[in-house]
Amino acid sequence: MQKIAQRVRFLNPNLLQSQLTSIDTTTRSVQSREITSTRELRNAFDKYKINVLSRYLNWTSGANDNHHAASYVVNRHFRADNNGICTKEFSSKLRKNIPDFVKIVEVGARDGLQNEKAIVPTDVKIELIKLLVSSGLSVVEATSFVSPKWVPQLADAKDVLAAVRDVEGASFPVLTPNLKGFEAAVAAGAKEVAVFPAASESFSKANLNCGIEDNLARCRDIASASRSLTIPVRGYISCVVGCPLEGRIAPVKVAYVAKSLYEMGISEISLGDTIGVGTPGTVIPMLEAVLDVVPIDKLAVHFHDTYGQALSNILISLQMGISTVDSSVSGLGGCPYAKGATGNVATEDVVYMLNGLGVKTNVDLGKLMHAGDFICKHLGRPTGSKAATALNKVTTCNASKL
Amino acid sequence: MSRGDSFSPRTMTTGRNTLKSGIVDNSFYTSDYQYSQKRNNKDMQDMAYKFMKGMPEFVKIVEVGPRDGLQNEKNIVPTDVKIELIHRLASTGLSVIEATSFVSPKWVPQLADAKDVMQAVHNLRGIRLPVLTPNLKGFEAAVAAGAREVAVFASASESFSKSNINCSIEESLSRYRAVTRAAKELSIPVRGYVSCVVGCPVEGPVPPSKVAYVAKALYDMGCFEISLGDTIGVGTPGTVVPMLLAVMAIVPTEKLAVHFHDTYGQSLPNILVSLQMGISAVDSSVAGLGGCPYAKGASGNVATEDVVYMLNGLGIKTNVDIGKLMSAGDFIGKQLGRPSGSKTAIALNRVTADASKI
Repeated sequence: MQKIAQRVRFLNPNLLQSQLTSIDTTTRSVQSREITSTRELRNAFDKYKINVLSRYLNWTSGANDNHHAASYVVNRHFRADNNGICTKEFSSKLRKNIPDFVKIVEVGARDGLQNEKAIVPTDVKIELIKLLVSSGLSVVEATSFVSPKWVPQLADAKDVLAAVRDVEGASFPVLTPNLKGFEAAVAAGAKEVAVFPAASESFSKANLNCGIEDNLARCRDIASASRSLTIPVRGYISCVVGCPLEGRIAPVKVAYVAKSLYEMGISEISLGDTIGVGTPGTVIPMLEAVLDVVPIDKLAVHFHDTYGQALSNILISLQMGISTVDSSVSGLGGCPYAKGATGNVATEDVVYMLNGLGVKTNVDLGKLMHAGDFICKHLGRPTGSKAATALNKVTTCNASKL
Repeated sequence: MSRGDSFSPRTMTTGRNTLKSGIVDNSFYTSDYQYSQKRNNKDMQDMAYKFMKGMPEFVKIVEVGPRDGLQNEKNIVPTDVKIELIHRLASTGLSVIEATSFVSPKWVPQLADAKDVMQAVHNLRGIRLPVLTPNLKGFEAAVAAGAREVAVFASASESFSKSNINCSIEESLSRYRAVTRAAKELSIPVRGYVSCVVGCPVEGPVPPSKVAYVAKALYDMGCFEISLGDTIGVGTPGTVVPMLLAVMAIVPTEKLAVHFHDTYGQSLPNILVSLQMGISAVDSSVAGLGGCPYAKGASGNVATEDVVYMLNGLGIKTNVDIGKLMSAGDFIGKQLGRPSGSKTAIALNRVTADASKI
């Protein structure tokens, strides 16, 4: 393994006390040091206990809204000559990094249906997956081999996978929380699996009943088992921006988990904003921290639209060069932490934006909408996609000109 | 990943709130600790620098809910409800609230009570209350009712202009010249709207040069601000950027505002690129009031709460209190008998509802 020199910023807790008395955060100094091995990174991470970090961050978020946030505004430091001129050159810089092709990972059949109240019959799931593949999606997450005790919605994992695994033109990753699930998945014919650690210790304990390190150990087991079977493993990291328990999550923690996954041979790391609180202001530093330790072609983004921020977060990720986006047809799947709020971003809306940007996806929006219609009719509710709603309702006779 | 119902709401949000004085505080959801340190010595360009440097420090939000929002609602809202909504919006920190429109009630029955609304609110301190005026007659009625700021609205698409306001673009511009001349004499500022800046329901895509032409015409006749409206919401950053470039080449950036519709869910990314290009005024509508008249049942205006949430996250000042904004949105939502069109408002309402159980 190459030694990778990294710069990791650590907030100096000694300054915490003095700064509590003065709210001049722009003069806060930053300690940084070279980290030359993973072990050091891990030790450094442990040294700064989660509590300290999160408490510090909680303080910085403060009770005064816009006021203090403005003092953090990046452009305060950088804004030189605001003569209001935006050149073509600048705007093409914005466009230049955006990839020519974006791979969409469709998670509706798994992440979507897993969070729906109603349990969907097996044949409906299979039909949905087939319709999704026919729209051009090349990666369709099929199901999850977690215990049906925890996720009854996906108890038919084996049957679903058996029915779709031979469908041509797409790969069908399945979730596997541990070695047992992995073995069941392989027995059912899985050719790609996914694991899901969290960047937040409390969320990990509450949601998965084990801490980050234990979870990563399980992932390592799965990674080594899959290596011998040449089965690629995708890694999801949840709570990459905020956690319902801890509040803000430090980018360095996300980077730590991402680097661990990368080193164990995970083929792709999907960064998930589980509660949807991210905005470009928090997404950029998080992506920066991760890009420091993982190559960009291994990264995907998985934003939730709970606060309506998903598309702008996706846009900023594209501008930074990310080229894989997770989304869910019709925005299937609510947010388990704010009942009734939305969760996944709708694939139709993402494809609409990518089409508008001139980014190839190989996805046919019309056929995608057909898949969305199908599942929404079955669930008995309207689509969660604004683009689909609009396209279905446009009634002008010249709509085809649009 | 999440396990749905097995995760109890009790453990949800407020672990950190025990650090505070026991007041349930959802400022976490409304502000961001922000990227504040500049990296040194990186080979990769400083990402935040690249993407954030053009962004303004302060963005003015022009609240169009009481006019553009209610004008597009099926139900006619009683006058006192409109007045109450404007008062509530005024307490949120918004500095510009479009109050009503002096168009003929034949065309827009929802705003037939323009005079009454205006007379009731025109004395609100510290708030600008522009009103729409399609012609000199409307302008005079507006002034008589106490208006101190007006707005006119031209289209970048000829067909849309004819079908929407019954006259060609040139005719509408000459009407507005009369309005701006009269307004100048009374020192009343005039805002100019350009509609269909990306796409037209009749003509399809609209060339950026036409938008620039109309924007410049409005600017030359004395409009202090030009709001570029994606009337049918079809814009994406791919079409918005060339349009903005064309307009910014001949109208100063600080005179421009953007008015995106969320019909296809694209408004926030469009607003984001506009900010990256230096635009610092954004139109939006509380609770996303106002559907799209061209795709019945589809959404229209972008919700102010969602915009403020994003701006807060970017560290951009707005002076808007999102909590009070949500309460204004709640109020009108109850009156209209339907849920908020703002995802932020829905999420924040659920989060605090569950949090109060602790």
